[in-house]
Amino acid sequence: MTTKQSWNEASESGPVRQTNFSDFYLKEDWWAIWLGLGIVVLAVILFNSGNTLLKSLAVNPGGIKWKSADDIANHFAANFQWYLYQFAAWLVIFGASCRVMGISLAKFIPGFVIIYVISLAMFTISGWADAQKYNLEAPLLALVLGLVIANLIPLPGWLDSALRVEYYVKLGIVLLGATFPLTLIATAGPIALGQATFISVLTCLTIFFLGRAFGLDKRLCAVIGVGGAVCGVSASIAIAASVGARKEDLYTSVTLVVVWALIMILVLPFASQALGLSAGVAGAWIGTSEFADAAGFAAASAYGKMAGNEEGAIKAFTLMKVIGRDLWIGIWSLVFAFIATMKWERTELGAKPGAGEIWRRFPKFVIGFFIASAIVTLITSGVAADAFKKAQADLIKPIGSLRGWAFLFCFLSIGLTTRFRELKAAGMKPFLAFTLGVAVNVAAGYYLSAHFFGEYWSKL
Amino acid sequence: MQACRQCLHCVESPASLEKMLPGRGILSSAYGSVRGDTALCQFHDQFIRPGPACAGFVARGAQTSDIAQPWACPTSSN
Repeated sequence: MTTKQSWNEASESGPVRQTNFSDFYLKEDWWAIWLGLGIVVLAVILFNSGNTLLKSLAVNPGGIKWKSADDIANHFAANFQWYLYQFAAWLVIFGASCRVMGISLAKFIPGFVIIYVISLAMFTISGWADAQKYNLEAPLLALVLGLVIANLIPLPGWLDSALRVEYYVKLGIVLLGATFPLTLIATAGPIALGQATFISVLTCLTIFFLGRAFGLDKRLCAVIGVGGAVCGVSASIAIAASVGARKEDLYTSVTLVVVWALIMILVLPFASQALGLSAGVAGAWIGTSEFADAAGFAAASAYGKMAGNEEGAIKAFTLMKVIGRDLWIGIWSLVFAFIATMKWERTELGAKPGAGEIWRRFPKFVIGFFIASAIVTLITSGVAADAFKKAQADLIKPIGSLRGWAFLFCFLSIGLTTRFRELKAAGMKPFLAFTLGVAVNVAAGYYLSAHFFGEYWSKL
Repeated sequence: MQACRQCLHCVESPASLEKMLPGRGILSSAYGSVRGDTALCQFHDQFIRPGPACAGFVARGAQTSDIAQPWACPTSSN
């Protein structure tokens, strides 16, 4: 008789997807849409009624340009109650939604208190008048501090419940839509899609065939190939199901993606600075070369601040990564599922692949990004210059500030979740295949962003 | 008809997946749409999209002595 130890999910808390409808409240993509659009609609209502509540609630110490401790004290004395209200608002919306998704509130609340307090400190440091001179940008500060803490201090398990890297970045992206004119998406979308398509195919095939040439298993090659070409670990697990990859294959991909994503976050902004790239060109390059949305936003935001044009870098990055590359995940999943089923003699486990795969794995939060963009574009189009200026100050800027908070929670969470001791050794051959793929990706991405489409991206 | 979702070996909840796979939460999330309904079949040590059950099926709540080994399953590649 066997006594195999098996993880019994039935003993675990947390709801499991039952129907298509349950995705609307069990997936963080949909929650990012509900919360993001809720904030945008509320902002529009308050703006139209002349109420400045959202402006006050979107308080942020990142822009105070303090020169002495007195400046900081005065700022917090004047805005103390607004920080309290803001904290309460974040806690309620994130806490309630995480609870519905099955995350323990008892663990989430203390964890989020820590995230908020550290984020507040990071914003305050970046609000120093000389911060830019020393590259003390909030995204990099939060990331580096998180990395140091996570790798030097043993962190309690409950903190993980609040380190929702992807949830925070998805909400930030939906809010970003409100500051993103629909006309820009319409004009830039085709260029971004063209560049992203070329890069996605090139990178995936490079890693896949190099891996095969090194004698690696084809399932592992598919998992690391799509991980490098689309959106890192998220893409890897999607492909893992399509090709029937093993746990070890995913571990390998996690290690390769995380190590290279971190290197890129730290290197690409400074490389862009050394090359004298405009914010738009650097944003497109980062969007072409970074693996995960969260990591890419950290790099693009950091360089945008360094170059004095954060909006330009973030917009180019979003066009390239979120609108361009991320959309490829469903397509790659379907393609590899068919190849695995028909060519690789895959064992017939689980559900059969179908075209529904493209929608099933579509990053749904992108829909929220488009709707938010449409709402604000509709409100601000055709208005007089004065009215547009007012909308910029009282509608778009507060939403932008809340977006900054969501992104900073994400950047700090990246640092705090990246514990190198949890990563498993990837092996030399997978490392070589992936690294060569990264080299091809970075070089091709630079050429396309700075030269082939350089004139276009530099205008952002 | 028996399905993967009713099987002891099928790990599908995002909380369980994040707990089981160290590093899974870095730059990613098991709660995202991109994961879809990807689950981990512990019997075959493979990621799957849950579907009809294979010969290795063990109903949740079964005794550990009822749990078969991978080589007992004709669809297993082990």
